[in-house]
Amino acid sequence: MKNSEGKKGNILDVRDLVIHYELEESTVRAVEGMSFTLGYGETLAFVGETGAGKTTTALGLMRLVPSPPGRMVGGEIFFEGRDIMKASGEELRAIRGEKISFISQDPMTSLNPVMSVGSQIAEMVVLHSGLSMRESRARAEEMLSLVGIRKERMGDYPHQFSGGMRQRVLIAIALACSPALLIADEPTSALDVTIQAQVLNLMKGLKERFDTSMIMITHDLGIAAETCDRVAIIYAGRIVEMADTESLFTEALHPYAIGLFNSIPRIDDDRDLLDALPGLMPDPARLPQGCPFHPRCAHASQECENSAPGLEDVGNGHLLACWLRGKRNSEVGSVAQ
Amino acid sequence: MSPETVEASRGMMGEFAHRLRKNPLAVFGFVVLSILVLVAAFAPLIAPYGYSDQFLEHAFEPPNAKFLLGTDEFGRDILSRLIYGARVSLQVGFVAVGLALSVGGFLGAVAGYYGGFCDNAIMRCMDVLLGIPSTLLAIAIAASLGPGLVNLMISVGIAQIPFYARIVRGAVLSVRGQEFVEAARAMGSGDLRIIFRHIIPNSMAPIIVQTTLDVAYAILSAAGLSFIGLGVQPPFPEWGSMLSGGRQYIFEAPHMTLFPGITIMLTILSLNFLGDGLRDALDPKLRR
Amino acid sequence: MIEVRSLKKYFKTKEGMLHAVDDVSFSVEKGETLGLVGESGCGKSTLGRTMIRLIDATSGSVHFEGVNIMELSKGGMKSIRKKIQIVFQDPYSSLNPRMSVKDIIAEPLIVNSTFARSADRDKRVWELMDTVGLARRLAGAYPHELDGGRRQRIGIARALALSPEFIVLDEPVSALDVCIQAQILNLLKVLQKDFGYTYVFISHNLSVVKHVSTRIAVMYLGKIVELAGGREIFKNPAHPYTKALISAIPRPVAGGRDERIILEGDVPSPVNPPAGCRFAGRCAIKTSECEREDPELEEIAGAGVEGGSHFVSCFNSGRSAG
Repeated sequence: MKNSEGKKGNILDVRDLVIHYELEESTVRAVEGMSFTLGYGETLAFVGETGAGKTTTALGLMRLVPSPPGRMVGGEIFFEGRDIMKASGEELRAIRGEKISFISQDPMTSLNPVMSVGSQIAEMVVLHSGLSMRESRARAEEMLSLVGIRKERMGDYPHQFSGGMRQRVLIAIALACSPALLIADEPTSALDVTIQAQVLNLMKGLKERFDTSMIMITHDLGIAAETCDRVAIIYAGRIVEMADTESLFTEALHPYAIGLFNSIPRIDDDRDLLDALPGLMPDPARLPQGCPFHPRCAHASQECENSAPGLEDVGNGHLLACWLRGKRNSEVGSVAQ
Repeated sequence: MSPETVEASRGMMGEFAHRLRKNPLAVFGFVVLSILVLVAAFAPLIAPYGYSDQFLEHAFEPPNAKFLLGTDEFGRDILSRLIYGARVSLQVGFVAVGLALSVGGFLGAVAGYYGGFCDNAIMRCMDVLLGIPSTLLAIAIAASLGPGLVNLMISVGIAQIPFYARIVRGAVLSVRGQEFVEAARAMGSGDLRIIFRHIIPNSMAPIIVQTTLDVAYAILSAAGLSFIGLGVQPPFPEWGSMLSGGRQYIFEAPHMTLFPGITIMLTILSLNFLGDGLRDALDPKLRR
Repeated sequence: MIEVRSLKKYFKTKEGMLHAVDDVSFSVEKGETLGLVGESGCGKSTLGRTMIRLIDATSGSVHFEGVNIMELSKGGMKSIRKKIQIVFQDPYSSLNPRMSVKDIIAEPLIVNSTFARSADRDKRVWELMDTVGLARRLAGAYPHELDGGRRQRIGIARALALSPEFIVLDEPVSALDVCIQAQILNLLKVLQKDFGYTYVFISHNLSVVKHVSTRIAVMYLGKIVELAGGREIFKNPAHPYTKALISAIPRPVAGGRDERIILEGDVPSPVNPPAGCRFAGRCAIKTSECEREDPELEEIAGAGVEGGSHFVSCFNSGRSAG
C-alpha cells in the first residue's frame, strides 16, 4: 500500500500555472505564474493571507476551479508524469478522490447531512476501488477506527458529531482510497486549539502510515513549522519564497515573509508593539506593475517597480523572488532579527 | 478591495439602479408600469371618449379607425374604458397592498422584534387567517361590506395581511440577531430607533419584492371580485368587470374580452418581471 | 474599576439548563487589560456581554465605579452605557450595511444627543476617523466596500465616540489576516496608552491575548480556572487545562517542538454539566475528589508572582502534570 516505495523524484511538477477569474468588469488574477514541485512523501505548506491564491491553486491542481468565471489560462501540471491540463473528464474523475484527495476548511458543510458517516466513507471506496458494498463498509469501519472514532458510530449522522470529530470523518474519507496526494485546505482553522492539536497529530501519523504526499494550505506559520517539510510563502498569486522549513524559519529572506513573521504575536516574546506591515495586499483585479509587493516594501527600488523578479535559487534549494537577494544579509536580513 | 474601488463606487442606490438596468425583462416591466401610471393619471386627456359615452349605433364594432379597440354592447369605446379602468386597477393594487403592508408589516415587526408571548399571539391569529383561502376571504369580506371601490380595496387588503406579517417577521428575525443591532443597543439606542434605523432598512429587500408581486395579485383578485359582481359598480369601468361583461358575447365580439384580458396579463407580467429584477438587484450576495 | 461577583448566566434549552457563565468573580483595574481566553463555547463572549448588561444576568452583580449596574433602571443604564463600550468580533455583521461610515460613527453621538449642533458632531466624527486611522475620504463609503481591517477600525471608532472608560473587545482580530491583525492590535495598544482605556480582551488565541494583556483569565465551560499576570501564567501555568492550552499552540520556529500535551476528547456540553470539576473528564491528574467536588478559584500562596496574585481552581495544581 505504500505509494512512494522505490519511487524517486517528484509526484507533482507544476510549471507557470496561471488561473484567472473573468468577471464582467474585470479579470481577477488569482494565480499568476506558480511553479513548484512536490516530492514523493513530502509535505509542502502554502502559507499566505486571504486572497493570496492558495485555495485557487489547490483547486487548479485537480482542475476543479469553478468555470465560469474561473479559467485555467496557462501552465502545466504533471502528476505522476501525466499532464493534468490535458487529461479528459473521465481521467480526471478517476484521479480525483482516488489519487488526489481534498480536505476542505469547513467541517460543517463538507459532509452530506442526510447520509450516515459510514455510508459516506463507503461511497468513496465503492466509487474508486471496485470493492463490493460489504467490503467497502468494512474498509469504512477500519478508516473510522484509524481516525479515532469508535466503529459503533458508523451509522451516526454528521450533526451528531462535534467539529473536531467531523474533521476526522473528512480525513477518513480523504484517505479511504490511500491517495498518493492529499491536499488539505486549512483543515484546522475552524477548530479550537486543543482539538487542532489532536487533528494535526492525527494527520501527521496517518500521512506517514499511508506514505502520502501532502500540500497543507494554512495562514498559520506555526502549523506550517510543525507539520511540513517545505514551506512556500504565497503573495498575490505568486510564490515569493520557498525553502525547507528549517531554513525558512531560521532565515526568511523575502521582505514579505519577514513582515509576516514580525507581525504575529508570539508567546515567547515581549514586544510592546508588533511590526505590522503597512497597507494591504493588492486587489488581484489590479495588480501593480513589477513586483506585486513593492508598494508595501521598505526596500523597493526602481527595479522593483519596473519588473517582477523570478523565483531563483539563492543557495541550498532556498528559492526567492526578490531583486534584493544580493544584499540580503546587510540590509533586509537585519530586519528579521 | 482597494480604496480606489470605494471612490469609483456608485453608492447604494446607484449600484442598485445599475444592476436593475442590466436585466432587460425588469426594464420592460418598469417601462410598461410607468406608462400605465401615466395613462391612469392623465386618463381624461388621453382617452378619446368618456368612459360612459354611448354610441348605440356603433355597438359591438370590432377594432377600426374610429374605435381603435372596438366597442361594447352599449357602443362604448373599449380603449377609453381600459384607460379609465387603469385608474381603478392600479389604485386597488397599490392601496390594497399598502394597507396589507402597513398593518401586516407592523404586526410582523412587533412579533419578530419582541418575540415571546407577543409573537405567539400575533402569529397564531395570522395562522387562522392564513387557514382560509385568501380569495374566499376577500369574497366573504366584500360580500359583507357590500360592493364598491373602497370596500374592494379593503377586502383585498385584509386578505393579504397575514402574508406580510409573516414576511416582515421573518426579515426582522434574521436581522435582529445580527451584531450591529446589538451594537446599537450597546450605545444606548431605544427600541423604536433600533427598529426604524437598523432593522427595517435591512429587511426592505424581501418586502419590496413581495410588494411588487402582490400588487399583481391584488389587481387580479380585484378583477376576480368585479367579475363576480362584488367589485366596482357599473358604469365605472374596471378591467375585471369588463372581462365579465364581454363573456356573454365572446363568440360574436371576442375583442370585448380579448383586450381587457391582454391588459390584465401585460400588467401582471410587468409587475412580475419587475419583482424578479428587484429581487436579484437587491440580493447582497450578488453584489460584486 | 469593575468588580464582578458570582456572575451567572444560564440559558434555557430543550435539553436542560445551559450554564454559559457559572459563578464567575473577578475584578478589572483602571488602565489594565484583562485577557479572557478559552475555546469556543466556554462562555467568554457571554461573559463579556453579560458584564456590560447587553444580556441580563441570571444572578450576581457587576459594580462599575462602585455602582451595581445589574440593578440600574433603564435611564440609569443609558447614562452608564456612555462609559462602557464593546467592539465586536465580526467586522461584517457588526456594521449596519445600509449606513455610511460617517453615519455609523455618528450614530452613538446622535443617540445620546452629545452635540447640539451637527457641525460639532461632524468635527468629532473626523477626529475619531483620524484617531483610528481611517482616511476621511472614506466617510461616504458603505461597509461592504471596505476590507475587514478598515471595517474593524470603524467598529473601534464607534466604540470610542462617547469617550468611554471601559471597553470590552470581543475577539476583535480573529476574523482578520495576520498583517491586518497586527495593525489593529497596535492601534488598540496605542489608544490605551493615549487615552487610558481599560480593556477586557476576549479571544481564543493565546498568543494574541498574551501580547495585549496585563492579566489573563482562562475559562473552561463557564468557569474561570486560572487567573494570573500575563507573564506569570505562561511561565508557571498551574491548571492542567492552561498547560494543555499553552502547549497546543503551534510555534512558528524551526523544528517545532517534540513534547506537547494533547488532550483527549472534546469539550463536554455546557448543558447540565456534571458535578465536580468541569475539566475532570479530560484531565490527566484527576483524583476521586475532582469528580465529587468543584474546586474554588483560590490564590496560590507564595508563588513567585509577577504582576499580581495567581489564582487557580484545581485540587492538584501543586502536583506536576506528569
